Amino acid sequence: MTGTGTAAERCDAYLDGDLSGEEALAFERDLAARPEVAAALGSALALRELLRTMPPLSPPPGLAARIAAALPLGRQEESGRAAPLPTVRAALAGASWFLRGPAEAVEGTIGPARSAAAGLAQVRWMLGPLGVARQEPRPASRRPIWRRVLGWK
Amino acid sequence: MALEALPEAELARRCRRGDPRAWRELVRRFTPLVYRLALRMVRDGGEAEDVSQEVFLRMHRSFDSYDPTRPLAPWVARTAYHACLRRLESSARRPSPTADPEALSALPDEGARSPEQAAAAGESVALLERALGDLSVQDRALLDLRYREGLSDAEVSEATGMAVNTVKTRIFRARARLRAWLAPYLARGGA
Repeated sequence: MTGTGTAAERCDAYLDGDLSGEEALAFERDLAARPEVAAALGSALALRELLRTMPPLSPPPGLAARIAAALPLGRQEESGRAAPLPTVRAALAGASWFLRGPAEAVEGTIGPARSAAAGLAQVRWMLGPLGVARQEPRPASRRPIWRRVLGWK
Repeated sequence: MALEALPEAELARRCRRGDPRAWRELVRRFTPLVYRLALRMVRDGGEAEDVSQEVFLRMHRSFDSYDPTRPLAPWVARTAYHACLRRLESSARRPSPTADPEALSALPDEGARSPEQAAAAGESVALLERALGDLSVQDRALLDLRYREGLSDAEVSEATGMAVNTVKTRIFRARARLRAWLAPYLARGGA
């Protein structure tokens, strides 16, 4: 925007910071010397102020709550802790089935651990048959294997 | 840290993980922006509420498309802007400036007073509302995002998908139209 624009254009460019240093100085000289430039700047400022200070269009009461209630949020954890990745869980279940047999796998011995130590113990137990971790297996269930396979109590 | 004081980046990170409390906070923070923009564009309170709900559902479905290094407001505004345009296209009607009696009840009866008379009566806001209603939907949105919501030209560009220069030019022309309409009022320095 140059000094050859209309007064309104120059005012907007000045207020938007679009004039170069030299152009801004020229504009300020005009501002002091020419009343119509001062009037245009006053109008531009008044319009911007009016746009900024319009009374707020407030949302109706309860709109945010209704919107939040409509979002499919219910099945995720409130704590903000992410649910275990399904792929990781599936891989662990598969490894459990392969290494420990169907009875242990269906019994749910592999699953989300409550702590890091519990998770480590679970992995060591799972890897037991490979001889990677020498830890005694968990106490064998007293239930017959066919009940454990079928998931019966 | 209370959710209300959570920085945007952390709030976005939690939303990406699907934390319901973070989502409720996101909705609480941005409902005013979305509703105001929607009301400014569709000019109907009921439709603005519907669009607001649609906007947050879309955001929830496509939150992975949000770049967490960028501020949230332009992304939210972009979702809202395009949802409003789609709504207006599908309704296939030109929004009426007096469509929402509740939100626009302050408007003077059309034709009852000239702009000069209204300005003289000090009804600057009503006059501005009417003048804004005379602009295109896109121009109303540009002015709203730039001045009401305080976004920069670059952020308005991001929100609307227009080039920055287009944003500047359109805002300049929209302001010129408003200035012409509001001349009697502005000549008094907006007092």
